Amino acid sequence: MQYIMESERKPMRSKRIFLLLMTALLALSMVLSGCKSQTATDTIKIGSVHPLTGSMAYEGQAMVNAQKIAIDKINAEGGINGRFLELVAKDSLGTSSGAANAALKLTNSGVVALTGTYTSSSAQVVSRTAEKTRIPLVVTVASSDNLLSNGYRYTFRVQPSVSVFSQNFLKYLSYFKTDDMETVAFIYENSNYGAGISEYITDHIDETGLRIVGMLSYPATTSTMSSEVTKLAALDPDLLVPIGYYSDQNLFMKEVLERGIQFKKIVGCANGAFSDAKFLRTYGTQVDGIYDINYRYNPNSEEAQYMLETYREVYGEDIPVHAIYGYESIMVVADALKRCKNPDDPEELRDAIAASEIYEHVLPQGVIKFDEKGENINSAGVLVEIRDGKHIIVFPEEYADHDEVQK
Amino acid sequence: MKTKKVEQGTLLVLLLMAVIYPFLSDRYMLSVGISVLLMALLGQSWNIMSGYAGQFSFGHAAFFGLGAYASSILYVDHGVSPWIGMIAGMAVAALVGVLIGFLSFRYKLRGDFFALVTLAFAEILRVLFNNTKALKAATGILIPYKDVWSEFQFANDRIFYFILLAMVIAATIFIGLMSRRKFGVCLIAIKENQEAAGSLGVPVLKYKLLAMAISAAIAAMAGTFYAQYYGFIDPTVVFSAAISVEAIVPCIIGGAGTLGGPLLGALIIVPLKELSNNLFEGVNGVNMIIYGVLIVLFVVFCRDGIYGTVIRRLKGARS
Amino acid sequence: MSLQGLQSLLDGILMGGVYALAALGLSLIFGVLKITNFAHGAMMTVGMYVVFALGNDLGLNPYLALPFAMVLMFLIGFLIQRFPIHYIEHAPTHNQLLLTLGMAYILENVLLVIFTPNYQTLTVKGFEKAWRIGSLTFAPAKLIAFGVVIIVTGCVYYLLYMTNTGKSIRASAQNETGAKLMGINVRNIRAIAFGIGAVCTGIAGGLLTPIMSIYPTLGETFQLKCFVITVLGGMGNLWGALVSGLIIGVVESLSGYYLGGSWSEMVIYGIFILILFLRPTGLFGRGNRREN
Repeated sequence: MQYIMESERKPMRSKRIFLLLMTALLALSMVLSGCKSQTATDTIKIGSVHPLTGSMAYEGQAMVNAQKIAIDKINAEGGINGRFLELVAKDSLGTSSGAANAALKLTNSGVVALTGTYTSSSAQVVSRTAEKTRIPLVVTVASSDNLLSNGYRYTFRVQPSVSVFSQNFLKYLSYFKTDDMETVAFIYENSNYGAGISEYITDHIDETGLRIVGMLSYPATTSTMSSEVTKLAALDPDLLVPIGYYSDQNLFMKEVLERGIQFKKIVGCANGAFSDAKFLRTYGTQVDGIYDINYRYNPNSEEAQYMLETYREVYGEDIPVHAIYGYESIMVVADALKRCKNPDDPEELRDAIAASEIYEHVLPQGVIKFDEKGENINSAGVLVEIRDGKHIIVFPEEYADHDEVQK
Repeated sequence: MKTKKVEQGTLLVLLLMAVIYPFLSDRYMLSVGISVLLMALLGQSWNIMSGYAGQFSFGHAAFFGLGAYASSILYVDHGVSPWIGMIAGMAVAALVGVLIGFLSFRYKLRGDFFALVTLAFAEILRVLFNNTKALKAATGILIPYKDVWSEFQFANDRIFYFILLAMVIAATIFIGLMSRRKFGVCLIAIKENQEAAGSLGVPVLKYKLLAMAISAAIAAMAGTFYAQYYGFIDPTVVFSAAISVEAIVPCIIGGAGTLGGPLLGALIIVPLKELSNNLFEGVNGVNMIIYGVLIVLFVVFCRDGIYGTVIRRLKGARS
Repeated sequence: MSLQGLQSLLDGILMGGVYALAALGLSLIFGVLKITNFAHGAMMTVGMYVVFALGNDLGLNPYLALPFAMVLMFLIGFLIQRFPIHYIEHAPTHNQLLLTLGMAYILENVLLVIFTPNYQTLTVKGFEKAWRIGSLTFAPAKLIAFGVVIIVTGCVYYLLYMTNTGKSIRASAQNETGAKLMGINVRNIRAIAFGIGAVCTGIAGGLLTPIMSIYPTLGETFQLKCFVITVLGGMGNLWGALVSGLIIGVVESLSGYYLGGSWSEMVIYGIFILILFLRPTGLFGRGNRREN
């Protein structure tokens, strides 16, 4: 019984200390969050809102890593009219309120522009924040079609949206479509991005002459893809189109390879796994012959080579393709800043971004230029083939890895 | 009497702070303030059902999401003002709440089994909304960006803040008044010992369902506010377990079953979370570790919540 | 049933074995110790990363790495129970839930700090191809997991029902004061029980490492499923958990095959709600129903 008494008394004593500690912490928090951080005026700050914890942490972190490389490059070249850039990255916690608070914290600490946010729901919230605070937002990755449909003045998107990816798919089809190809099946994760792309394509399937035999959707958090694989093996479509994130599509291919199922042709669309370097490291040449329409760098660009090598050097892995848009988002902001008379004026910066015409960039597309909605008019994905365990751009012609293609 | 005075005093001080706050704060601070109030409102909603009546819900996202979706679909698809949509959402959520409650109580579910049922219902709604095209499926709903009173849209976040504050005050007063009446006494009786309360003639089922309906309606109100303020909803955002957790956290930290508990809890935990997020910029994960540690410490050392602990101390001092 | 249906059934049974193992630890912690443990998924992830680290950095076969994971998981479980769970054993469910959720945040983010949030894949030599019987295929890693779950369930059953420690665990779960009066060190016994639960959870995580690519929050996706299985099998009923794990695996696989993966979640939660309403003591009626 004495033991019971003891265990009950102990927390009482520490409880008082704890309460005291909490009060002190609270007071501190009030003070700290109350005082505005004094901004040193010699650097130009760019804010970055991405999920750095939670289930999207890898994607968010890669984005920030790529952004840092861009910042370092600009600073090494002398900065913006003699002033250096500084990246301030904040965790959006993957939630709407987290993203809003992070964005406002950044605008408070004097950033001239925001970048972000990887998920579409956060991007929607941050673009509204940008509109209210009149600070321009350059979207790194958020593919939702309706992102710019509210007519926001301060939001710009470099990356291809869901419908652009889908149009790319329909356009590039001519490259990989064979005469005997008749049936197509989709396997896609059921969020806005996977479902969005597959629905857009199926709405336009008549143009392709293909017949849909299967539309299989699954939640991205799934722990098994066996029944999907079984079903697809039985359907045996002439063309299989998988759309999803890294971990679920990796699981899918793992089960396909394990069972030795030979699909006639696999063409991913913005597939999180197929274009990833880890995917090739895991499966090597086993996945040869798979195509993917995805983000990519321009293989003919020297700057892209610099980006690839620096990323590999600094972070010890190949740059994940979505992070290329993190890099380019900084370049877009920097390019606009250079054209500003007063780089500290977000309004002037907004106009400068809107007037962007960037010819030298790392993306596989023409000039980066925004329409009145803020959409990059030339945004596009490219068709990548896995050949000899390597990613090779095969289409469109002007971005193809010619040396590799001819081999 | 002393506890009552403390209670009233605390609420008054909180109210005063809340009214002055937006005039002293910048946009970021205001946004944090809105996060605090939103959590407080969700907490207050959870409080009446779980804190007072003792029916532990882990699925408040269900009601929150229904509120957000009802007003947003009515607004975007049918041009109905979100103010009216909010009422509709509250009604829908209350109905679903009563339905879940009726089924659960009919089959005598209690404790964590009841919590798991509410969690499962929230998940079912998430899957349902995510896969139903008529409900916009996974695309979600984008709220138009305007500055129109009648459409619950303001360019000035301060107005949003005061509307949310009014909601929190209304909910708090409502719960405060209810808890003083027979209703409140009966809820506490049900929480303490349901069988005894029933044998004394308390209409247990009716009161439990009423508590659930009120709770669900308040959560739905928070949902509508969320949609209008943040401007975008999709099933994974509004039906997520994270929302259900947000409803519980302030109550446990502040004190479940007390009127001021959820308010105090939200006021403490949100700034602390923001603080750890700001202090540990650049070392990812540490912010959430600190948040986790704070929660663990609060639950271990402040079992009745801060408010509850203070009240108990006062009561203890009297007796 | 078509050949594909049969293959789905088979896949469901194999995956069900993994689920059962994942739920076994929860059945102990939730069913016997009565702790509503929302850190269960995170504990599973710890198991995954221990096996991954040993397999990737030291080149150890993941199945040989399991014993190390078990020892570590026991220690983690023991410590988690001694502090902080010990302090909230008699607290209301919501306090337990919030505390374990806090623990989950801590565990997940410690993993994030140590291992980075990158997706990690561990391949086992010789397991690249599925084994076949006729036209049916078996994923080797899942088959091994299936074997392990039966052994582990047997071991835990033996431990719980045939040894003194097990008797003490069950005694202190049923009547704490009585157990104390009998001279049982309840605090240690419960910590040991939690440790055993953590070991089962860790094994489940470790066996998943060769099956999926892992990341710090992966365990969350198993959390609710494990609760479903535990309740379905009856609180604290180990063999019940095993069978209901298989049931959930099969239901998921077949509904995935016939209705589509998006709806299979819904079927599982639907079954869960029905079970809670109609048979709250679990399918096998042996579990004890929990009152508040």
